[in-house]
Amino acid sequence: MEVKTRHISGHEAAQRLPGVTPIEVDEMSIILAPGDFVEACRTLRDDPELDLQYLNSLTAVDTMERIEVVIHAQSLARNQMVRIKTVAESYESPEAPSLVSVWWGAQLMERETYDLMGVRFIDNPDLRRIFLWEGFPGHPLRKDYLRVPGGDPGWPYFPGEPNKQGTPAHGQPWTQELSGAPATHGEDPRDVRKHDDIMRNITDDLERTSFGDPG
Amino acid sequence: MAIQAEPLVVNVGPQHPSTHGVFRMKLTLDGELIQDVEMIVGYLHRSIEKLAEERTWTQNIPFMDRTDYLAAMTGNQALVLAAERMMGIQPTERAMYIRVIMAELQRFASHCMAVGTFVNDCGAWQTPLMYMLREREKILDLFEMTCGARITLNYMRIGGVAFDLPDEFVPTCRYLVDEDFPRRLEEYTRILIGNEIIIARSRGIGVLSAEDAINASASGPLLRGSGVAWDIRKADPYDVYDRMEFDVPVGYQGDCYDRFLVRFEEMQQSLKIIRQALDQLPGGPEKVDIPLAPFVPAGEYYGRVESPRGELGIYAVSDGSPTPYRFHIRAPSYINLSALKQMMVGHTVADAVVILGSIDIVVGEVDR
Repeated sequence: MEVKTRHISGHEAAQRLPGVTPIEVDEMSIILAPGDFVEACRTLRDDPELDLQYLNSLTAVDTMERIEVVIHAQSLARNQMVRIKTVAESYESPEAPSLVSVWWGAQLMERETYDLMGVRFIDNPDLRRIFLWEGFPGHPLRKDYLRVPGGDPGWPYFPGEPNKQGTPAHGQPWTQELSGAPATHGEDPRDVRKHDDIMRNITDDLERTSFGDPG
Repeated sequence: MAIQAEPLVVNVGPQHPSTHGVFRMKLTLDGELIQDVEMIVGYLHRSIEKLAEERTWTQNIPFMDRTDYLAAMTGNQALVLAAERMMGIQPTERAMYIRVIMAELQRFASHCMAVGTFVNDCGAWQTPLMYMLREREKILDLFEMTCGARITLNYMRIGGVAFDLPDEFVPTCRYLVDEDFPRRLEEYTRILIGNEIIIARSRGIGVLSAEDAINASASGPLLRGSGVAWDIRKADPYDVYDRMEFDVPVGYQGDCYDRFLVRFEEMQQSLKIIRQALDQLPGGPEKVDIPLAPFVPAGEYYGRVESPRGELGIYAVSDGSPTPYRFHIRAPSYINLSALKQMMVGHTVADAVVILGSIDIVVGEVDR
C-alpha cells in the first residue's frame, strides 16, 4: 500500500470551521482573516478529525500587494497536512496575530519572519531580530528592499567602501537608504519587476546555448 | 536563612569548541544551575533565501550544499524534489536509486560526525571522534569518486543526478556497507554503547517529553528520541524509499542518551537501505534531458525530506518564471533549537554542552 501524506484541501478545512468566514478558499489552501486566525488554528489543532498537532513551518510571502503569513501544520497520527494563510494588516508595516499560544514552536519561526520580512506578530512574547542586529535598516526579504529603479538590484559597491567614481552608480547615494531616510525614487519601486529582466536574460541565454545540462 | 545571590550570566560562544560553529548562548545561572538560556545566532547569516530569488532552480542547488554543510546530499535532494514536483518532471529510475544511496551515505557520514562530537562533549576526548571521522572520510572518498567534491557536492540535478556512478563505485560501496562499516559499528557499539562515562553524562539529562517535542516542532532524532515514531521516509516517501525495508528507531526516555542511541541505530538502518538499493540498482540513463533553466509553472509547493537533522522543508512560490518568487528553507537545526530552553533549564553548565551536542546543530543551516 502506498503511503503518502494526505493534503487537506482548503474546502475541507473550511467545513471544520463553522462560524468563520474565510477570505479565500481553494484546493490547496485556506486564507483566513487575521482576526479569526489564532482561534481557527486552535480549533483545527484540537479537531479530532484533523488533529493538526504539529506545526511544520511558518513563513511569509511578499506578493507586492500584501504580506501573506503562510503556515503548514500536520497530524502525525493521521498523516495529513494543511496550508493555512492569513493576510497581514498593512503592507508598509505588516502586523499579524501570533501563533505561539497554539504551537509553542512558532516562537522561533515568528522571530525569523519578523527579522527578514518585517511582520510584527502581536502577542509574541519575545519578538526581536534574530539573524540581523537591532537597528539593521529594513527587512531583506521584502521585495522592495535594495531595489534601484531601472537598474540592477543591490548596491553598486559595499557600504563603507570609498566611492571611486565620486558619484554612485544609478544616481542613488547609498547612504540615503542606509540611514533610513526615504530614497527619492523616480517611480514606485514595486513597479520594477526584476524577474522580467532575469527571465529575458535567461531566454536570451537559452537561445544561444543548446538544451541539456552540461553537468 | 537562605543566602540570596545575584544570578550570574555566563556567555558561551560564539567561538567555543562545544558550540560546533559560531553559536552563542547566554546562560543565566543560579549557583551552578541554569535558570535561563538565550540563544544568539546570525553570525553565519548569508541571506540564502534572498539570493535564491534571483537565481534559477539549478543555480540554487549549490546553496543547499552551504546550508547544511554536513549533509549536502539531502539538501540537494530537497531542492530537486521540490523543483521536480512543481514542474511535473519524473526522474529516471536509476537516478532515484542513486539519490537514495547518496542520501543514506550522507546520513551515515553526518551521524558519524554527530555521534563523534557528542561523545567528545561527554568527555570521551577525541579518540572516538577520530574513529568516526575515519569512517566519514571513506564516504567522502566515495563522493569525490562520483562527483569530484567532498563536502559541497552539487551533485543532484532536476530530473536526475549530474553524473552516473563510476565503475568502481558499486564494488567499493558494497565492500564498505557489507564488510567494513558493520565491523566498525560493532566495534563502536562495544566501546560506546553502555559506556559508563557516556551514561553518567547523558542519561536523564536534557529530557524532552513527546508532547513538548511535538509542540516545539522538533524533528529528526530529537523527535524520535522522545518516543515519537515519525520519519518522513516512512510517512511521506520520496524517491524510492517506499521500496526499501527499514525500521524507525525511537527512544523511550527522551534524554540525550536516547538521541545518541537513535542516531547510532539509524546508521545501521542506513546501511540496510544502501544494501537494498545496491541490489535493486537498475541500469539506464542517470538523468532526463531538461532545459538548463526551465520555466516553473506558477504555484506554490511545500516539499520535505528527512535530513539527518530532521524535516528539511522547501516552501517555494513560483510566478511562472525560471526563478523562484519566494524560496523558504525550513531548517531543522534552527527549529530544533526551539526546545533548547526546555531541555537546559535546571541542569548545570557542563550538561548544557552535552545537551547542545545531542541536538546536533549545523550553524550554516541555523543561520542560512
